[in-house]
Amino acid sequence: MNQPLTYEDLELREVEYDALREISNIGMGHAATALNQMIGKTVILTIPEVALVSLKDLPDFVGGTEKIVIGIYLKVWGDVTGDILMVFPRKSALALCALLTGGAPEDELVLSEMHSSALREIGNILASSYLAALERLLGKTLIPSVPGIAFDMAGAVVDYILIQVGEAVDQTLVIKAAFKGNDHGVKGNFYLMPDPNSLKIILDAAKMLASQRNGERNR
Amino acid sequence: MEAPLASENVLRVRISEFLVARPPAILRVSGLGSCVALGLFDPKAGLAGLAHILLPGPAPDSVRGSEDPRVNRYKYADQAIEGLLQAMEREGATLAEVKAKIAGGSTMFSQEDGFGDARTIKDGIGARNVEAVKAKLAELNIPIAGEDSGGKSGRTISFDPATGIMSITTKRSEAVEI
Repeated sequence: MNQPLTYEDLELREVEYDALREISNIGMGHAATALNQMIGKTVILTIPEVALVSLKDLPDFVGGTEKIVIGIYLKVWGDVTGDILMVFPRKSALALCALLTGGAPEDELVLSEMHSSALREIGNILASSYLAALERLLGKTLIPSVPGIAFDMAGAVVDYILIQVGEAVDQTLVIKAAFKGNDHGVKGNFYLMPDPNSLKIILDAAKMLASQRNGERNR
Repeated sequence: MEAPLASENVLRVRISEFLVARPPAILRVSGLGSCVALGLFDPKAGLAGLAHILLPGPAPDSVRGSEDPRVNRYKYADQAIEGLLQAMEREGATLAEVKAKIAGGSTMFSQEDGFGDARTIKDGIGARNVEAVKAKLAELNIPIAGEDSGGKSGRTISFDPATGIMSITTKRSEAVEI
């Protein structure tokens, strides 16, 4: 086993950030297609953001510490390991529940069992389609864990994840993709946080892919 | 649900930080989940401090006491408490007068044990954070004057150096004072 890397060791430059944005676009494209099919409505993606964020800044990066959100959290296992967090503003999550279950959105402070399991299923499908696309692209195994769900202040939702990563690193690489609907109030953010060793695996695979593509083009 | 008073007297303490303040300033941690907010106050010296602790530790040797600004050692319970106490003593606090209040250490996700394998499983990380804070306080003989920990809800905490009162809100409840 090699010495664990930190993100600083990887000396990320613009070319790496570009590769990560491209990968995220492909993964998120598949996830959005799955979501479109589930709710029967169009979901639009925005350009992904990639950033190194210090632990103390992550709660603000995710949208403000006291904002009430629904957070769905999964771990990623396989050749590439890391964390996935999906954050839906409260109204958006309730709109999503209404679309899925056919009822009107109710203003809940505690999620009903039905809504909680519907949202967890959404998280599962979004993460699985995202990871399956990365798996095909990179030729690496990525397996999602069972999703956990929390309905609370964004800061409180995020600090559990920071505890997971905080022993090893003081900052984390976040690949963020935002999605939203035109007319149905569903919007949210999808965050992938690969650990440093996995980030290296992703970047190496992406480089190989890029050089293969260039080779084909030049032939 | 944003903080109602965005007064400049409210000093926000972010993860792995601590701050020391005198009245009329109020110390605040917003959106606290499995982390722990530790308040220390010295009523005689009229000052208080608040630490926002991420990890139970103990801090590894490479981090303990480090002055390297890139090393975030105050994320650990033991380092944060030592650092906060020293900062308060520099401002005139006396260890024998200092009392502690603790909040946080929740379980935020319904099935946290479903995430991990043996390497990374962090069962009851909130509870472990609270235990680590209490162990360090016991070592320093600092009495605990109030506690609101555990449960399944995030908290927002305001700590008033004028009174030593810690006021806690969750998404569902009116403020509780300890």
